[in-house]
Amino acid sequence: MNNPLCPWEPSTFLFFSSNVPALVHYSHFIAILAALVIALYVFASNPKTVIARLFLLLVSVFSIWTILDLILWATNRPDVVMFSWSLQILLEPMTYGVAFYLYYFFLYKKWPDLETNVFIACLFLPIVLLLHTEYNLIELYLSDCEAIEGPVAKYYTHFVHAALILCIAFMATRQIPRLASQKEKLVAMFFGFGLVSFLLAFSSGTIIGSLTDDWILSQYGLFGMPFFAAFIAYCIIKFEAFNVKVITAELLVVALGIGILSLVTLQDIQNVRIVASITFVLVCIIGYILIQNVRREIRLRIHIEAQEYALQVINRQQEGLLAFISHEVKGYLAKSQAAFAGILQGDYGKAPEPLLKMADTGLIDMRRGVDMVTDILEASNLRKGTVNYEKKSFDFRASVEEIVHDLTPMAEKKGLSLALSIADGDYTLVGDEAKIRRHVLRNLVENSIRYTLEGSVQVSLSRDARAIHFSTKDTGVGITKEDMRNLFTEGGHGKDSLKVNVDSTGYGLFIAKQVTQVHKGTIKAFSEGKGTGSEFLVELPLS
Amino acid sequence: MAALVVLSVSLTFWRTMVVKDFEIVDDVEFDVESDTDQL
Repeated sequence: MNNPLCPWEPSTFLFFSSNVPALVHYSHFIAILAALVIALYVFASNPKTVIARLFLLLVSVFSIWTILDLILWATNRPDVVMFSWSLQILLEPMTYGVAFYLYYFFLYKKWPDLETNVFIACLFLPIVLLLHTEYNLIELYLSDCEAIEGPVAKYYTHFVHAALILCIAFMATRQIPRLASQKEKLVAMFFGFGLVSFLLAFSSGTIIGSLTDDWILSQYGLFGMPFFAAFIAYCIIKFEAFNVKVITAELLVVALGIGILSLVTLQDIQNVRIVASITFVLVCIIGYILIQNVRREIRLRIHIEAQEYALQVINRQQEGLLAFISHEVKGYLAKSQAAFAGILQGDYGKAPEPLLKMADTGLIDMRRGVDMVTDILEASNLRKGTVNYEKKSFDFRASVEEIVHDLTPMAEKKGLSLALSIADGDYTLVGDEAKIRRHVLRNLVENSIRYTLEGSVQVSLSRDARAIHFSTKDTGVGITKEDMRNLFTEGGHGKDSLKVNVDSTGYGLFIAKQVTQVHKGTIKAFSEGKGTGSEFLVELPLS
Repeated sequence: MAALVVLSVSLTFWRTMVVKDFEIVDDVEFDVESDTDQL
């Protein structure tokens, strides 16, 4: 007989024929769709993790197996049945193999060693070598298009499944007690349970079919697949700390969508009842989880809002306290400063030499203290928005020249050369001269001198039609990438800045940035890194 | 191992789909007769 066919009409679109009960379509499509959606979601959440990739591979192998199963149900061609059936015999243990590697990586966070890989390869070798022979599939009965399995398909594959499940169980009992935290142990146990349930649900069709010869009944096994896929995904997500609430909502939508779509395609009322019942159970379970999550979310939001309000109150109280303390301390420091200045100037008569020396040191310390407290007060006022700015026209060039002139002795004392270059032009600017001088110009030039141990500091001034450009460039300690991020933040010290400049409050550049921004300008810092010097550039618009 | 799998699948394809080197037990006629008997 040439090309005999099984006694039903050929399949349409590979998956449809009168030989396929509607329930088979439902069990297969729901299993593939749900498992793929879950695996792709986990993969998309973190495509770089090996676990997400292995999980996607596991579901993909399972999906190919399920598609082949649908083809087997629908086709009436013996050659297609024999080929698809053979591939299934290869793919089923492969699913177990991927599951083994997934759990191994989940527990050990690394790939198995060579011996384990050789063991797995040896397990698979008979299947791979004998797949095309009669040891796998012997013959085919035409009345129901059913292949007669050889010893490899009938016995050896089940042996491989059992061996791999035992390996997973062995890994779990050996490694779980060694995990550090209770939470990790719990998640690993859940994950192992989910994985083994996934594999058993997967094989249940073959087991039920083999034992009862009822291949319709065996389809119910596939209904369990989405549950176990979801369970595994939940463990992966929980372990990797992704957002679980979103996946629950997505699962509910997918389950409802597939359920309703299936109802439309079914004609037999009995099947409609089965599908509707399964959809109802799915909606109840996933809906319950979703509602629980939403409730928890609402509780958390209320809690966060209350904490935010409490934080705001504490913040305001601390701001007030800080401003009060700073103000008071500044008063005492100013009085002491005046006392030391009086001693030095001879207001209390001629003082002995040691006292004069002590008064001189005291005066320098007091000035530093006053500057520090003033910075903190200024930053606090800027934060509260209680700083008033004058808006007057002034000569920016004269301010720069004065600052450089004032700070030249400081640079000379450190053996640095402080150079100033000014391009020709008019540098009249409208703004708060005092604040720009103190917080921007003085601060930047002083910083350059302080953070330069040897070499030079170059101050430059130029303008174009739009803005004035002021810059300081030094051969100092430079700024690391890490420090660059905190440079203009409140109290943002560089990692080693206090080693070079013990008086640093960490507020100088924060205030400089605030003052520049109020004048609609920008301030930027450039540095190649540690020990390469740095450059600060200020742009202040002319209009 | 991957190469072996590819080779194995190719050989299976050759055996089942190309040369169709497997036995088909034609039990369809028997069923038709039994159906006729029942009728």
